[in-house]
Amino acid sequence: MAERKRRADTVRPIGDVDRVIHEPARLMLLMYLSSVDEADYIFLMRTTGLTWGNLSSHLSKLEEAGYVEISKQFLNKKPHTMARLTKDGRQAFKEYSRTMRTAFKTLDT
Amino acid sequence: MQQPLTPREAHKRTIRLVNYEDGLWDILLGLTFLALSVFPVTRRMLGPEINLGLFLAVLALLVVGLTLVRRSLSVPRIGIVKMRRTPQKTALTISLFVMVLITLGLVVVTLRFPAWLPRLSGSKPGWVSDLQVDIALTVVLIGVFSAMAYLTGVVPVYIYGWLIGLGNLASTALILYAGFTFNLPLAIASTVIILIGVVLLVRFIYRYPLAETES
Repeated sequence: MAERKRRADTVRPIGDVDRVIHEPARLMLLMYLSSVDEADYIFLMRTTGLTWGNLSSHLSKLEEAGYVEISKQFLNKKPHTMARLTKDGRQAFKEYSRTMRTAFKTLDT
Repeated sequence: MQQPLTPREAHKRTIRLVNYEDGLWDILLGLTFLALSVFPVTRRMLGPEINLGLFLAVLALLVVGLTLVRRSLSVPRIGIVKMRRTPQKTALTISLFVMVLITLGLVVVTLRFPAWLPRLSGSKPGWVSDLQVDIALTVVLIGVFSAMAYLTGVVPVYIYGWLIGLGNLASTALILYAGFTFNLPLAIASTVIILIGVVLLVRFIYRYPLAETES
């Protein structure tokens, strides 16, 4: 009984998991952005396999949450967009990883 | 089976995609050692100093040429990435730089002081004294390339170490015992590396066609 309660208590935080990050495409984007300083749309499209439209919509959601900073500039007279993880984004991604790791570890035992 | 995506795996994939997947690094390496394989011939014609200068000029030309090719061919296909600077990554960059310097240093010594290489001691069996520097060079080359492969996670680099190391050893043996004037095994090894690079480049171009531009 006590063991069941302990497990329930440990797994409970999974209910509070950050839903902005929990979406697979956004999680993938954060994973790649966490490994670099900044990257452009083409790189993110190549690595995640998302289309322009999907990529743009997911990055907008991450930007609204304050996790990603988008900067637009012109490169050879063509629009060029770079994305970088903010400090809050990096912290939220770490927190998300910690929560998920703890939850899965408990489910495994 | 595909490797599950973890932050570490994402980082490795990024490094591989940005630096190695287009095969240009392999082509540069192959061309460098191919140039090196014809240098016994040019050394006899030009002398060691001019020969060394020529080699360094060819190397600089190859580096500049392939950098320009990468900028015009790879970047539009895979985009622009700025890597994060962390102490571990700085240490990795320094380690790779030192390894490249060691390899380049060995090459320069081989070109500038060829008379150094064979017969350092007469107290061992003939082939050991004849080839001892080349055996040591082979071990160092295999070691340096294996370390680079381990640090970067790029598997073909292990094979390149063995190809170049053994190619160099076989070349010296053929020059000493069969009267060859040209580093044929090293040239073959370099050609194999160039061909691997070309295959990687063709695969890269097919896999990553020119991306649509942003609107």
